[in-house]
Amino acid sequence: MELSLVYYKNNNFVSKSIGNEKVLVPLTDNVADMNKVYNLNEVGSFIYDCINGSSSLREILSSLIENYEVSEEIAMDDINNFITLMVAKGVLFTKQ
Amino acid sequence: MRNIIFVKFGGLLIELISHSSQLILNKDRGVKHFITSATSKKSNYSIHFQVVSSTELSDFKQKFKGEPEENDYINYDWFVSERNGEIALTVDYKDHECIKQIVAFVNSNSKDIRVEIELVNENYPVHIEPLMHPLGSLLMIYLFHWNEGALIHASAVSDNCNGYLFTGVSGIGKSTMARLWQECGAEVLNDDRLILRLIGDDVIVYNNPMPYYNQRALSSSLKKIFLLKQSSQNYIKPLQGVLAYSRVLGNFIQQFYNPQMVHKHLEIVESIINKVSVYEVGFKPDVNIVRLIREMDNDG
Repeated sequence: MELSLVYYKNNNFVSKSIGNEKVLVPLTDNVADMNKVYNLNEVGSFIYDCINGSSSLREILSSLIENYEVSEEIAMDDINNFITLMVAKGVLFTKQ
Repeated sequence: MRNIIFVKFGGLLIELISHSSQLILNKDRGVKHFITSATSKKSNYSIHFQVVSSTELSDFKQKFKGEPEENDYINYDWFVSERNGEIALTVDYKDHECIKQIVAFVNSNSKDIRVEIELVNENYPVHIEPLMHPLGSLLMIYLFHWNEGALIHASAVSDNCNGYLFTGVSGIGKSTMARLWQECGAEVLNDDRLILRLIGDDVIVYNNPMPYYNQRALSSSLKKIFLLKQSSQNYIKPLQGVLAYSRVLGNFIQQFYNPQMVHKHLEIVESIINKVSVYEVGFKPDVNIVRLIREMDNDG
């Protein structure tokens, strides 16, 4: 995983926090598709909130380690899995 | 002389007015049991029906095109367009004997809704159902959205003043569940489509005018939402958090096309979920499931 990369949110998803978790609703052909929502657990929700088009994955990794007091290895795995899935689903993208 | 009907459903008083002599608003069928007498109370909305030779939509930008529902009994296309916040809901009927096109203009800031109707033959009087399908459904989606409410595909019953709502994918047993409750003495509000509204600290579930339903206006305070699963044995499993939310969310009826509307809808659904309990229920189609659900309340 390239930690210097900066990721952006796709505006065609609307997010809604439910406690510490989150749902992402896709706008498909301009219409919200409530049957294809993505559920983010607490960690996924935290990473998603950190993605802002300016923070690098390295910065997000540091925040995750600090907030959840997890090892770098676990935090790296969490970010890697989350980014891979969200990019595949079109939720996140990078310009590099 | 203007032809005026007052209807009340979902807690909203709506005035339906025909401004065209050849357009007679039908008081039978869908709206029949929701008609209320003229009142000094101010209507929440006034819907103004008018016959036109054509409707001008050139300044409106089409947001999306809908499809008829599966197994729909009439043939039509529908579109949602917008111009500076004003929404045009257009239905083109392909083989309707009297109506070519019907366009409703709605705006979140206005209590007046203009409905323009292009007839096949303007010279003959036409009786129309004022909340005819699918225009009535589309209108309700927007009007209740602006009034802290939403429509949901579900069945609902009122049992000793407790409202229970049963939802899930088509064919999962919503109507069967309603019938089982009816057999056990509960009142069925509807077995297909309900309105939910946030009123004070409560969520109120209402039935609403629907073609082929011969029901009076009914409502109940909603206590529990059940997501139905077919199962070889009865069980009830509480759901919470994002799982409860996302699984109920997919059953609401919505046609929202901009992030602000979607976000508001998500907020309304969250407020509803926060006020009622959500369960997954697996059931065999017999009255034992009714007993099991009633025991939940008896057990506190």
